[in-house]
Amino acid sequence: MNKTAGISGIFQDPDLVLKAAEGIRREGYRKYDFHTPYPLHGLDAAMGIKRTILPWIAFGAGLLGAAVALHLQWWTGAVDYPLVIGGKPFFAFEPSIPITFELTILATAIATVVGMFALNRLPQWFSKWQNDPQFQRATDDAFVVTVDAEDPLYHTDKTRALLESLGAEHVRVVEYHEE
Amino acid sequence: MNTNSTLLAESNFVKRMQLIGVIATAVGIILSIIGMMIDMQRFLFDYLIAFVFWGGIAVTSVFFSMLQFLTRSGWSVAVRRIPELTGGFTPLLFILVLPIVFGVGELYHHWVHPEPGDVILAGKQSWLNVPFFIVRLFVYVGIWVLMYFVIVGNSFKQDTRNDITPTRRNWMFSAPITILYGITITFAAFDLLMSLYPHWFSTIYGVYYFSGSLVGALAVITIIAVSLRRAGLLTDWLTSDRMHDLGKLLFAFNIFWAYIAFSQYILIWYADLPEEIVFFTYRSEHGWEVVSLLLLLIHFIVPFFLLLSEDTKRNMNTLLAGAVILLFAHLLDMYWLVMPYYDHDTVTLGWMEFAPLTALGGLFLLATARQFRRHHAIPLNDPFLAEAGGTQ
Repeated sequence: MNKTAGISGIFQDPDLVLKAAEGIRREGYRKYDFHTPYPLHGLDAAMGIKRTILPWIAFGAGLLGAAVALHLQWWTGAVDYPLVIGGKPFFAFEPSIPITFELTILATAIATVVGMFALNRLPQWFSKWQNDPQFQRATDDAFVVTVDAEDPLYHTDKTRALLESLGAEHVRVVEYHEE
Repeated sequence: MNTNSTLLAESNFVKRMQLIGVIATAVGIILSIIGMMIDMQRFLFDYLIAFVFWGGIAVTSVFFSMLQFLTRSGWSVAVRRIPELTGGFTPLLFILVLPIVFGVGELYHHWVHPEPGDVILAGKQSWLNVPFFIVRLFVYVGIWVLMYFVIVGNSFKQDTRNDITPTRRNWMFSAPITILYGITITFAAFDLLMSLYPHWFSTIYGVYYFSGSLVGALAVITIIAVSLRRAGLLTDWLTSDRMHDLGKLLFAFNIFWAYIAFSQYILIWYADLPEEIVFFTYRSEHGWEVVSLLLLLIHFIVPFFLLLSEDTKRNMNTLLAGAVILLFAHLLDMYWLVMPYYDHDTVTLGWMEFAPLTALGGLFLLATARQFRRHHAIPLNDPFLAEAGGTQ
C-alpha cells in the first residue's frame, strides 16, 4: 500500500537554503532535512544541529588504545616472558612509543568510523524518499528539502504553504510503497 | 561586506608594535654591549640563539607564504600577508650574520682550533674550515634574501595590478625556490648549530631545525592574527574559520616537530653508541635534565592537549595561549640546542641570555611594523581572495 513520506521541495540557491532551514526550524519542525549535492557551509548552524559527540568517542578510544598498548608491552616484555635483548631494560617508555602511537591511532580510527556509522544510524537499506525522482536530484543539481509526515506539526496544506513561502519550488507530497 | 581598511599605517596596533620594537632594540643593544664586555664567548653563544630563533622564524615565514603559492591555496590568502610582512626581517640577516662571522673562532672553537691528532676533525676539514664556512653562511643568507624579494616582492606587486602576472610568476618560481630553501635551511642547521660539537652528527638535524622554525613562524602568525582581531582590524578576513585553520596548522606542525625529535632520540637511544649518545648525556646531567623535561612538556605535551579540541582552536584566548607557549618552547629548543656546548656542567641562564634575543626581537618588530606601514595587510587583487573571504 502507498503511504505518505512527507513533503519535498527543491531550491537552486544555497543562500535561500540557509534561510529556509532557519525558517522551518523557527516554526518548530523537528523531522525535516536538507539533501545537498555538496557540503553546504553553515547549514548545520541554520538547522540548529548540535555538535557531534564523535570527537569524545575518538578521544576515549585513543586513550584506551594507548593504555592497552603500554600494558601489552609491559606485560609481555617485563612480566610474562622477560628476555634480555641487547642489554635493554625489560620495559621502557622510549621503545614503547611507536607501538603505543600505532595502537592509539588504530583504536581512534576504528572508533571514529564505527562511531560515525552508529551515530548516523548507518547502514540504512531503505529510505522513504529514495524512489522519488525529485529527491534524486539531490545528488545532481538541486538542494532538496524534505519534511517528514511523522512530524507532529506536519499538515499537508500548512507545510506546503510554509515551504513555498520560504522559496521552495516544485513543492509536492511524496508517497512511498510499503509491502 | 569588506568594510575594514587594509592599510594599517595609522592604526594603534602598528604604532604600538613600533614603540615596543624601538624600546626592545635599544635596551637589547645596550645590554648586549655590556654582555660583550663581561663575557665575549657567552655573549656569542647567546647571540647565536637569538640569530637562529628570529632568523629561522623570518625565513620560514617567507617559506610559508611560498608554500601557499606552491599549493595554489585559497583559504590562506586572508592570512598570507602576515608572514610576508614579518619576513621583512630577512634582508637584515646580511648584517646580523656578521657577529657570527667575527666570532667564528669562539663559537666553533672545536673545529676552528682542533686538538692536534684529531683524525675525525681532520677528515672533516674540507667542509669545516673558516673561509668555506663564511662563504656558505653568505650563500644561505643570499638565497633567503633572494627568496624574500622574489616571492614576497611579487605578492606586493599583485596589490596594484589588474592582471595576475605577479602571482603567475610566484606559481612558477615557488617550486624551484622551495628546493633551494630546503637545502639551505638544512645546511644552515648543520653549519650554525650541529658544528658547535663537530664530532657528533645527526642526519635528521636539518629537518629538526626546520620543523621547530615552522612551529615558531606559525606561532608568530597566530599571535599577530589574534592581536589584529582583538584590535578590531581585518575582522572581515580573520574569521574564526581562518583562525581555526591557523590553529590546526600550528597543532599539526608541532606534532611534526615532536615526531622528528622523537625519531632522532629513539635511534640514538637504541644504538647507545658513545659518539652519538653524547648529545643526550650532555642534556641529561647537571641540571640539563630539567631543561630537557621542560622542553618535552611545553613543546609537546601541554600544547598537544591544549590545542587538540576544535573549541580551543576557535577560542581566541586558548589559541593565543597555545601560540605563546609554542613560541617560547621554540626559543627553549634553540637554547637547549646551543647552550650545553657553552657549558654542559651548569645550566647557564641569566639576563645575558636575553640581551641579544631582545635586540633582535626588537629589530624583528621594527621590520614588521615598517612593512605594515608600507603595504596592505591583505593581498588585494589576489585571484583567490574571494575564496578566502569570510564564510561565517
